[in-house]
Amino acid sequence: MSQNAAKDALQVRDLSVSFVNRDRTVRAVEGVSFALLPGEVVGLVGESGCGKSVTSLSILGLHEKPAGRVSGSIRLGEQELLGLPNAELRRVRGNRISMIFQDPLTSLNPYLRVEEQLGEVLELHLKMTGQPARARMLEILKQVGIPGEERLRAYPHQLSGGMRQRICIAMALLCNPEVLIADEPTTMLDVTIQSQILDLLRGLRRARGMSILFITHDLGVVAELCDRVIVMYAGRIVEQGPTAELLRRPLHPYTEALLKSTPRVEVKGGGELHPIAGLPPRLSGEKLTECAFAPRCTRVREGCRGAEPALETTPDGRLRRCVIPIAEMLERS
Amino acid sequence: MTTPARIDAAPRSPFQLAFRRLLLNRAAVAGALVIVVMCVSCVLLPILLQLDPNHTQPALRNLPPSSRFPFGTDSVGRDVLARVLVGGRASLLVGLASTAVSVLVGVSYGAVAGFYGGKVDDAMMRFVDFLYGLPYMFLVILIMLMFSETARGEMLPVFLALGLVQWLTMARIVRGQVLTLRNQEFVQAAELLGASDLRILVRHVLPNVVGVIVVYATLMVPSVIILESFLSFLGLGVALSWGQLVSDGVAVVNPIRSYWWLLFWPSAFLGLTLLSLNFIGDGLRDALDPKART
Repeated sequence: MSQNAAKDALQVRDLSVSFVNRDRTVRAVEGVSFALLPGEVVGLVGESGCGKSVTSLSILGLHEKPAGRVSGSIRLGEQELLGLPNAELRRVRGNRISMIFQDPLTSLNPYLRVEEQLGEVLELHLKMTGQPARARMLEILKQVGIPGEERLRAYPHQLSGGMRQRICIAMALLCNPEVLIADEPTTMLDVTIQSQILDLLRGLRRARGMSILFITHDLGVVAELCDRVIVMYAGRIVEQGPTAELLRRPLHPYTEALLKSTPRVEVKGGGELHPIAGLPPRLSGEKLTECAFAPRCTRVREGCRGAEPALETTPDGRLRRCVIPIAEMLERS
Repeated sequence: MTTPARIDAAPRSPFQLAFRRLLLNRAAVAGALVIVVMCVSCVLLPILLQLDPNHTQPALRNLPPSSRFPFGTDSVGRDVLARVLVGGRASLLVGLASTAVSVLVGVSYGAVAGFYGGKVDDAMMRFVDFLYGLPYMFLVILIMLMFSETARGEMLPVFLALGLVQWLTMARIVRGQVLTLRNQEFVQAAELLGASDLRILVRHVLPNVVGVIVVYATLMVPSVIILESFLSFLGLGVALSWGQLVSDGVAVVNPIRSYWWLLFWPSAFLGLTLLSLNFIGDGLRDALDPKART
């Protein structure tokens, strides 16, 4: 990963985010490292509350302040983002790195026309106004599948959910970002729109060579879109690998459990579902004395206790944080 | 997706939609009409009819309403109609100007507190709590007395005194709204797209609070008018206003002979204005309710 650091579009190293309250500390993200190659789509999956969104927001410096403390390193191309003064960070955001959100209904300002919201980005970053800005907006709207000039004059409440998400994507793409972070952009949409949006993202990635960090808890979406998957649990990376292999042969019991709790199309009736018992742990400040997943793990054993397993590289180049022999994981799944 | 669906020929902004809903509210429309008529007549009628509120005619004291003096005359023979209309100028102006002062102070204060949150918010809102704790009449009277030597009976101190007392609630309301808007995704999105704090506040946050501000400001105007009347009643307000006239009218009420017109007309004008403003405020609140999209 680090050998070709210069070529990475985005490199996150040893990222930790903790929130300090008056009476307690929550370590939401703990020592997360990963990189995105140019044009690569990486899925970030895990249950709610496992640190996916915090990771993505802190990459952009949008985590809750001042309670949130971020440490580690976040490099966008050659530039270190962490610790960058706000004014400079603003120049990067929306320009070289952009984000789309989960809920298209709330991510557009209800009081501004589409052209005003899009125009703001162009004005801020490219100092583009008037006719050239308009031309650019029309071009980008066409790319996200919204033809027609009249949409520019529309207010968000006149557009459907899928349409609004397209506008959000258009807004994120206006300045040709190198990296796009998509935080569950399809969860609030119905299935047909969902697949349209995924098609759109896939097409855009191919056409522009843009890297996408795709945050989701939907493994179906991951299988469709992502080149590589990072599985997070309790603020840590527990497994990472190429999508197809990771989904077919999970090497961490948590990934395995996630897969077993997902309905499958090819099995009649969706197959038998096995929800993961229990809840993700509360992440207090203390150092873990066992694998974070141990209390919920069906394969838990003596070796899981005592200390947290380290993130190790498997012979085929994947990463996982588990003490169970690989052979055993492969055999039973 | 590819067939362009029809869209309104003229897309309407949420404000335009709210305005249309407001026009359907009869009480609010009637209230607005009353206020317009009231303002126009208070400003123009005294000029057009050449009415002088301070012209005394000792021979024509305490006359009941008649065709010559539709509202009667007072104890020194001044035309009550003239006094009510000119007094209305002061009352309405105080209502508007003091509200403007309090909106200006309250909105900027509340917006900053809500937007930055955390310690800034804590410090700023504790100061507001502190001011809330002081009896506001005491504050008003204190501010008025500071000006009393130089500017007794003038309007500016009244604007300031009332405005500076009324902004507290406005600040709290705006702060609460901004605090919730701050975490809306479109505000985060604006931040993410590289907009500066000021830009986010002015362009993305405040337009979403305007509805609440407008409603609350409309309802604040009558309460300020009442406050001014009360000050006048105490002898601290503007020299000639409805409150002052009511106070004069009350002074001459006695069981032997009632000069009812001295009390009735200013009270009626005051009451009608307050009622209308409240109707407008209620109408605006209903029209601007974001959950009532039509």
